[in-house]
Amino acid sequence: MNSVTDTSHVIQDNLPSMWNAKDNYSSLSLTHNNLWVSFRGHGKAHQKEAASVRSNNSIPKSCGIYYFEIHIISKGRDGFIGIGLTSRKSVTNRLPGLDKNSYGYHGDDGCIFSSSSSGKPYGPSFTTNDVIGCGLNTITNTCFYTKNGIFLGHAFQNVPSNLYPTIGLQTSGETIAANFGQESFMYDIEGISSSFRQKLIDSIIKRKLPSHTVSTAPDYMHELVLSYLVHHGHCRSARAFASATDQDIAESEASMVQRQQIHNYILSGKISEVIKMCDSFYPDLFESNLELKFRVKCQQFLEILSGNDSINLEAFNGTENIFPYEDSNSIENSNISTARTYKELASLVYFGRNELIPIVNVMLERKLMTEELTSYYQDIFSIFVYPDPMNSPLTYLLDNSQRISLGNYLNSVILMRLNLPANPPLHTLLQYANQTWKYMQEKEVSSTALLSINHFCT
Amino acid sequence: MAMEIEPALSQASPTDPIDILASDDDASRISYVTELKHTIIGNKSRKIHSLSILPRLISVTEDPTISDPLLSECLVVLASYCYLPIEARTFFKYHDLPSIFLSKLGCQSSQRTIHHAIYALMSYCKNFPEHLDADIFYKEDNLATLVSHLDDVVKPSQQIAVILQITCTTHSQQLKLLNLGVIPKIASKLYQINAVRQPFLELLACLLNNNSEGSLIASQYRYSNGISIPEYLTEMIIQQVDPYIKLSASRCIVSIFLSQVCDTDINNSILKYKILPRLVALARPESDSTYNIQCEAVKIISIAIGRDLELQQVLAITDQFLNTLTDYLKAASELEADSREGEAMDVDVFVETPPELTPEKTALKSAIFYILSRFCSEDESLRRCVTDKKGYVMEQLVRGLVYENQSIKLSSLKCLLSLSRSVRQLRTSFVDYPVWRHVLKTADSSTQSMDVVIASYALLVNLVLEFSPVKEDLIKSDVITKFHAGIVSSNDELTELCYWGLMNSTFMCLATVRTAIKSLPSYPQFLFTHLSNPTSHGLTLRSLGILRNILSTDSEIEEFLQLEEESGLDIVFTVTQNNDMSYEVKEQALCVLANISSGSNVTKKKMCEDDKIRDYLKEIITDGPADLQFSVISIIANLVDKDHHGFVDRQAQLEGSGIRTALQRLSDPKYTNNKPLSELVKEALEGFTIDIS
Repeated sequence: MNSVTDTSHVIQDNLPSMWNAKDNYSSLSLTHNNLWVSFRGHGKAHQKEAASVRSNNSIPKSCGIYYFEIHIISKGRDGFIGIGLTSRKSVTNRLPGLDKNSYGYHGDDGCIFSSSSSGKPYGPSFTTNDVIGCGLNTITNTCFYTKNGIFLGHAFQNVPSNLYPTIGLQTSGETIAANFGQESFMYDIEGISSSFRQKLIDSIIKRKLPSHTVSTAPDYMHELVLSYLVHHGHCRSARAFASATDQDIAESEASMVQRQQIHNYILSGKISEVIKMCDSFYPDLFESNLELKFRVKCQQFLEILSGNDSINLEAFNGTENIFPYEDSNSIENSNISTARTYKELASLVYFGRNELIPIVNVMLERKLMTEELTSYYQDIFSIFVYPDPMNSPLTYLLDNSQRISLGNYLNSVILMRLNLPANPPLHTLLQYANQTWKYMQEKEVSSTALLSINHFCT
Repeated sequence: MAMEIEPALSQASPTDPIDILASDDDASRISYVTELKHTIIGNKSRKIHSLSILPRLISVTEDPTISDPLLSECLVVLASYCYLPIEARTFFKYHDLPSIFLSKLGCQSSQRTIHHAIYALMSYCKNFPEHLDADIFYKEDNLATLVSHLDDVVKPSQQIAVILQITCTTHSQQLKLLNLGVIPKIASKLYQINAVRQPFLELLACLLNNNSEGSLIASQYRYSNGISIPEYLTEMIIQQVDPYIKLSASRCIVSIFLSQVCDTDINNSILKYKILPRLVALARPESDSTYNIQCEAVKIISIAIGRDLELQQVLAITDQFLNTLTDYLKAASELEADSREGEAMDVDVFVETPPELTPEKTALKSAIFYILSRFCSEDESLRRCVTDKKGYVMEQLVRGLVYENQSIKLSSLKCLLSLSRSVRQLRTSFVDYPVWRHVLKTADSSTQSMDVVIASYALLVNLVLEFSPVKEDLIKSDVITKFHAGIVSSNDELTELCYWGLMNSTFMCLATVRTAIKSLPSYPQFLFTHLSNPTSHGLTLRSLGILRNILSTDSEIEEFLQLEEESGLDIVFTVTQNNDMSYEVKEQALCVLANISSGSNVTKKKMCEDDKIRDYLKEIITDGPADLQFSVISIIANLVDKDHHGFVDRQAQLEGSGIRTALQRLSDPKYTNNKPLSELVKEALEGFTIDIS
């Protein structure tokens, strides 16, 4: 369904999707899965002979820009067709627009009606084979119409919320077909939504902060940027930026270089190098943070499995019977593709037994094994048995995002050890912004339908 | 007492700027010029006060032995002088600064100096467009050097783009740039941020303007991601918020689409559904500061829709565009009404001088009139949308004729001309509003520009049509004399219009009109000029049209036949024998002959006695096109008319030439299936009363 832009966070079931067979006047018949409406009465020119039907759902306030189209299959005898939006309480024996909280565009004269029986000239009339679109912008509370893909202009302002798409027919032979997004629209609604989103982004970017919120806005921004650069170890950029903005860097350049190198090793899968560097520059780092050690070792296990890392096999002389209950030949003949040799497979098992399990046991003793960690641990050992781990349900463990996550975690721990903030203020701001956005969404603020924090972050 | 020896007059003070520049001490020269630079940049009064140093500075810059650092500083100073106030700029027309700047773009200069030379060149181009000799920029070497710098770092490349955009004014210049591969260079720059790509968009718009070759190159170019320039420009127009970027991109893409080098159906669809709606949104009045944007958007839209009726109809309903345009005129009308409040009610609002507008409002009003002229050019329903119930539109159009500003006058005239193509409008709007009075005033080449004069005459041509109620008023106001003045002018377009106007005036000719025509100083020579020596198809046609309308009574015809050394009849007949003339012209000539043949016995006799005429009539009946046959048969029917004395002889003469036999053959269904023609032939044959045998 593509009637609403950026609907990822809107519950799809709440959108209008068909005409409501229980909310229509008796002169109408609904067919084609309640998408077609025909007037089956005799129909007279008098307004009181009209019949309307509403959609099954109202337009949610948080949907941003809602749009639907009506294809005039036949204008029937006189083409007294009204297309618009009405409230739940509007009567269904009149064309939309003639009652309170009812808005409509009528095909016989091209006039619009806004809760009144007297219309205003608006656009062209419409007839058989025309496609009339009706859009509601819940952010600006305006309603517009289109004809055959051409935007006709805004018709109504200050439109209330919780309105239903409505169609009204009045004379015999009138038949319409609705498109609530089941097919592509004639009008370029995506382009318009995209333009509107750009305008919103532009207005946000250009918005000036009130002077009392920050003491000196440019300095504050500089500090944010510098702290971000330092946190992620971009030492050259940080140094240049600090020089240009007349700031000092709390951490030494050598330290930043070390952290960046550690991060790079993690991203390339060389966990053994990471451990070496940490042991060298940050002694007892792992001992004082068991969870960190656990995660690092688990990642190392995965990297060995993938072939990106290796372990010191000196402690493993190959004579230990890794699989006491299995014949080594049968293992060699089995289809385990990642551990290319028996020795590699055995070394993995050795690593697991001698490196990981002791940590797990200690964590269990200290009741540090949470449900999440336990599940993670079980997945680590489960992926080991798949013939092709890259095509297994646990492939996510081998994804680069795991390395990034570990890299960020380790970086934060190192920074805390250096008595520096674990997270840059920019991250905290972003988290606040995300939470605020979610709160606004819950409160059905319309613009959250078109914009999220991601639109500002590349 | 010792006499003080006065220092020799030739020994100037060492601090004199001119001598500092003339000295050999490069360090002091550089020091002086640098100090001068700091003094004058951003300070107009200091620039003016230091103008006396300019000639020396220019000669130093021209010196081929000048050191690079000094040259660099001199270029910056000269660039700064280009921003002098207008009244002090006359100095520059005596120096060929562009040539000097161009010569410094060579590789012997340092990068810094080259960039300063480019900046100086751009400054000159922006401030002295009227003194620019664009040809020196388009000499092979100079152009190649300029184009090579399009790949330079941001600022210089942008400045080159500005220079090329200002100097590229002709088709040949566009082609030279295209041959140097400018479009791919521009394309790469379009992916930059707005501040960088704006001048390149302007240059691209200039290159593509009325240039199908450029449009083809642009549409065939592909970026590394596979999209074309038109696709990227479309995306830019949709996604961008900056109105200036949207406008520049729109200009480019409208030029590409109008050149029809790409798929026309797709182009029309993109234009209709994606580009024009965005332009319409830009044309909406948001605030006073956006007049320029509105004006530019309206201009681009009017170019895009051209005479395409479908696009005009779509645009009229898009986002209430037509209402937006007319609402602006309504607001202008109400503003002017407010300013007249309290005055006497009998003040003619179309006589007094309209209020002065700012240049931006002037441009916008002119653009609105112009686009309304497009809307009103083809479709009656659109004309009604503009004029019905919107009296303020006509009011503003008429008041537009009173403005001093020529662009408003011209666009107002064009809009009125479009409206005058409608019979209904001629009978309503042009009666309700005193358009004709003001058009007579604007059709004055002594006070108005030629464009305004030509547009005025074009409108008068329509206003003197037979069904125009104001025709009589115009005839009484001596419009015939005005048309005659246009005929004898040296402007071919005006001449043809005035012939046309006389032709329309003489239709269903009143005695007053005939008298007025005959009293014209060059009557009847001006009618024969383009018949005896036809140079223009249109002029010959109109001259014949005038004759056809005038020659409607016996006395007129006889008088015509007796004019001049050469008979009027022979002059008209000669046109039919001219193989260079189209059938349309020959048909008109035959219609004149048909009128002549309806004259007195004397006239009929003269025609029948002429062997050449008889032979020609027979030739057309036997083997001529149907259009000419109709006229010929009318002539024959008039000649054989038995109500005029001498019909027997005339019929015998025609019979003797084989005309009757040819008619009989033509009446046979075997030889023609044209029913109206056959009917006419039968009627003509019935006129023959003499017995063949």
